[in-house]
Amino acid sequence: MLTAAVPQLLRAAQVLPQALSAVSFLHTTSEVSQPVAKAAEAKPALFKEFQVYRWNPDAPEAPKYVSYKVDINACGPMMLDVLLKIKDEQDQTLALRRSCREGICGSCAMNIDGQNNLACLSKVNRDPAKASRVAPLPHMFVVKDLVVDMSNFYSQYKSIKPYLQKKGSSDPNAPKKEIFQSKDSRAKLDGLYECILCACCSTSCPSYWWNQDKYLGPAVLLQAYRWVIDSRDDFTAERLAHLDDAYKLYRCKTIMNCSQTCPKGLNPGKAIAKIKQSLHKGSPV
Amino acid sequence: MLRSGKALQLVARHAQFGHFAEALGSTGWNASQTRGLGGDKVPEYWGKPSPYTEGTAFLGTPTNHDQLINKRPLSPDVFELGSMTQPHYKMPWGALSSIANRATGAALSAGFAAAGYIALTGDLAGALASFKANYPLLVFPTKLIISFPLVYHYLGGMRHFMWDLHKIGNQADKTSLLETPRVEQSSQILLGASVALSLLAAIL
Repeated sequence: MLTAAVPQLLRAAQVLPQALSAVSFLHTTSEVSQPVAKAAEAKPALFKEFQVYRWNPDAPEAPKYVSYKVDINACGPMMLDVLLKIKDEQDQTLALRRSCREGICGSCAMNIDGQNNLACLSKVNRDPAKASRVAPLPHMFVVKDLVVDMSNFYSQYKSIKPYLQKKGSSDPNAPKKEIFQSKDSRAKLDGLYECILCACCSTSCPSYWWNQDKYLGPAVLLQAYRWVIDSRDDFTAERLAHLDDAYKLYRCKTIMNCSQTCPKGLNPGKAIAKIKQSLHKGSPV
Repeated sequence: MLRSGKALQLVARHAQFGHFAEALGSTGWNASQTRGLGGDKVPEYWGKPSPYTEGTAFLGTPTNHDQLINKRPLSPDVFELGSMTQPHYKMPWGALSSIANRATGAALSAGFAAAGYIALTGDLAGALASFKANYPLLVFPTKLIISFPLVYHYLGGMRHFMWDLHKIGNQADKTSLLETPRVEQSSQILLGASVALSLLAAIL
């Protein structure tokens, strides 16, 4: 209803000053003050070179970096803006994953200037003398350009059973009661539930690079710990036992690349240390 | 499939990756470094049902997923595309201190094994005395080369103990030793302290 009123309001706003000036006895200002649009001060063009990893599955060429020059003064501040500008204006065949443009969906995770980050949260370095390098997440199978195969990562996430498991009646028709949790118990989940599964951490871990199929990686282990210390979950012992083998957890060598690169500021390395302490103790730490 | 073209394969290998990469087992143009240290092979259980995951079928991946994976290149990790020297991932101090710990550990294993061999089959004390007498100028650098791995690996090991055993609070508390700025700091301190202490040990 309100939206229907808007065009009418706009029309009224346009007509009003002219109407006022026509009515002379009102002693309105002789010059009707129309909104004066200031001439937008056009910024001088500032070109910066971006080297983007390209690979086409349909062409027999090897992967390579292609250089694009972009006017960063006529572009948004983030790397995602630059990449979409390249896709719009220079090369429509550039493939990349993106969605929310605000750092919450985790789609645009990639390697920018040697660090894994979300493209939508990564500010472009405005020094035109330095070329920026954009590559896919490290040590992942490339589907096309900056898009990598995430299926193994997702199957690892499923393997830790990332959902609440309660013991007792499994009758789906039983009346559901609220599961109480103290403030202290809920505080233990802070820094764990915010993970957006972008895979920046796992793909920054050299240990995950060398054992991608058997080591679960920091992202999945962070979530495993999230369920281990959730006071509402009844299958804690089983969750810990699931991780107790030579590869799933213990390939972590506390390299700490994961925590350094997390775009959400989380600390998977710390959570993994706590899982190790929990396994050593026999109960969640 | 391009891989069946042996001539093209050889040309690509020599053109881009050189004999070193060849020797280490990388094959084909999509092996841009010795990933997996066994060439460009797909890991054993990648995307397949295994003791580690249930596989990727639940996602709706195509039935020929294995074939598709084999054709896909691995994105650059440690080294840049087509290089064995230019780094790709910008390693933070923590990662550098970790690999240094591994390197010094390997050096210590090799060094102590060599020293043990000499001790068991010959005369270690005599060998050292004759080395000191014959090459007096090399004594200080050699002491440095021996003491640095010892000191660094020992201090690095102590740091690992602290990381593994110290009481860690909640994830949101920034008080543990495993917070990112503290890890960077401790890595730099570790390196500095090791250099200083090993210089001291070499001088004395």
